[in-house]
Amino acid sequence: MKSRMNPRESVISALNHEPVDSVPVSGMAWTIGAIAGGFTTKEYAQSGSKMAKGQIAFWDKTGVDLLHPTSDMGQTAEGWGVKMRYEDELTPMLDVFAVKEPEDWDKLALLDPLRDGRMRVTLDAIEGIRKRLGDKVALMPYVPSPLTSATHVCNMEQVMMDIVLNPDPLHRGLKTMSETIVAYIDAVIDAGGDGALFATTRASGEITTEEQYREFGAEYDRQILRAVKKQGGSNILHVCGVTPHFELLSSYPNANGINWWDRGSNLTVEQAKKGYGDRVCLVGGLDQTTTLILGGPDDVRNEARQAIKAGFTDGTGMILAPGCEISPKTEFVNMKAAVTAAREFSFQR
Amino acid sequence: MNEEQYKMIYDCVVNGKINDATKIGETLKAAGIDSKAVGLVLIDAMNLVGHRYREREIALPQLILATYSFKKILVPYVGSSTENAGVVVMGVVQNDIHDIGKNLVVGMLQVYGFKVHDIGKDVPLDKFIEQAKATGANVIGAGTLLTATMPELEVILAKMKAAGMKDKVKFMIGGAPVTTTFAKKIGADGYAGDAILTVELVGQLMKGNQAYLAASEGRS
Repeated sequence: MKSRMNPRESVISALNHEPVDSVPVSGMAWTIGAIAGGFTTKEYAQSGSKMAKGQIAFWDKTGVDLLHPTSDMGQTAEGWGVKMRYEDELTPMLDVFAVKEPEDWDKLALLDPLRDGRMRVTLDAIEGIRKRLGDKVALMPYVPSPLTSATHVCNMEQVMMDIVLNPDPLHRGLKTMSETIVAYIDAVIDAGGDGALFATTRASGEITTEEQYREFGAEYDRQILRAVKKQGGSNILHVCGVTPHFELLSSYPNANGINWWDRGSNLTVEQAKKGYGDRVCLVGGLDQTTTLILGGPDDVRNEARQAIKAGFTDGTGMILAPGCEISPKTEFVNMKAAVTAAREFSFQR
Repeated sequence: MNEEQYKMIYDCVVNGKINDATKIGETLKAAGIDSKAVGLVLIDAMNLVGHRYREREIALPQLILATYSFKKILVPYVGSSTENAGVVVMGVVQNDIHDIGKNLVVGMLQVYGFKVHDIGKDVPLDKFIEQAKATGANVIGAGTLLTATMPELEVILAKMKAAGMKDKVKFMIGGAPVTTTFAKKIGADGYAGDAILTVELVGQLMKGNQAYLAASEGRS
């Protein structure tokens, strides 16, 4: 183990199953970055410098090791023609979808991350944060997988029906989106990012069967992770839902970590460590739906302690994190308590 | 209803044959089959679909197709049913456009005889109160898929109290990040983990009970 590992090294080491000084912590802070920086969400979502300031302010208040510069789901989708709705206090929303009919999947174009949509906002934010904080933090922005992106450019009900009724046009759309996502992550790494929080959000049994996810999700995810590895980046797969396809996701050859809602799903950190801990870094342990918004620092500290005890048994392979984005109403002291607990309990057996 | 007609409805819903559904409904109505008889078969079929979904034998694509199929079968009968098991106002809170779960809930409740006022997605919170007053609702149902908008659910409850309707109207919540713990903590009368369970939940709420029905994964 290196002495005095910096946070960036710590996160990358944990993702690669190398020893770390203590469990790194992610706050899964997206919209709350606007609150931390004193900006409206509208400003934060459309300005790289404001997003950078907001994320840095969150880091200042909490001390997390890993940031995910992100504002909303529309950064790539807007490039494909989705109309967004911006309001001062609300997270920007997908307002009018671009894909309304199956034939619209063929109309999606390959995007330029520097020019199209609002990918440039995130790229500018990464540059700004890296310039200011250097190796004091790892940076892995939220990047939606092709199937997740499909549900950002088209009503999710329609995407789900297209899986059964119109698979060929949907596949063509997924292919186009995959090429854009590879280019986006490439630009993220060029900007100083460490890879991506790769949102494989539809890989859960209440959304897709494993067979459906293999065909419409995994095939494209794997291609992208292969490209990310060639680019020298790392990844954390982010899966929503209560029955994540953990076996499938953890079998991806280039998967580094998986973030999931361990407190709400059918897989605890302890179970994941035993079943998959040798394959992927486990990213979770904190409940964003209860403890972080309804509890106080002591509750968070206890939850963190329990999670670390279950997931950090071999001194690596874990990042303490909420299972999804934290609510903008989360108290900063709660995330700070998680960071303090991680430092305190990592090697306390 | 003869066996062939029963099988026709059942097969259409269980296998999500959405393109055949409207014609099946028209054929049944033309044959003089009443909506109650059709509804009973739909419930049989949806019970199987719900079981398969809960057991993770099928997922959202098949569940959506089944739900749309049964709704289409019922289209020729819209307005002819006199059944009313209760009045429910359903919507997704403001700043959230994820309405797939809400749509499933609406469809399921309609099949089971509830009168549902679907106020859509991204709904301003006052609208839940206004619609409940305007329709004489027994239950307000609000959902969200986002952690970021979960606090809005508590705001609706506060508005219900401020409007003096909390003792008269039950409040149920749902959505992917919502749990029994959260529902109890904010004081909601009910929570259901999926659309199938919501039917049971509303039945309990109509009896004046509180109920918190987590899905089979054991969420708290």
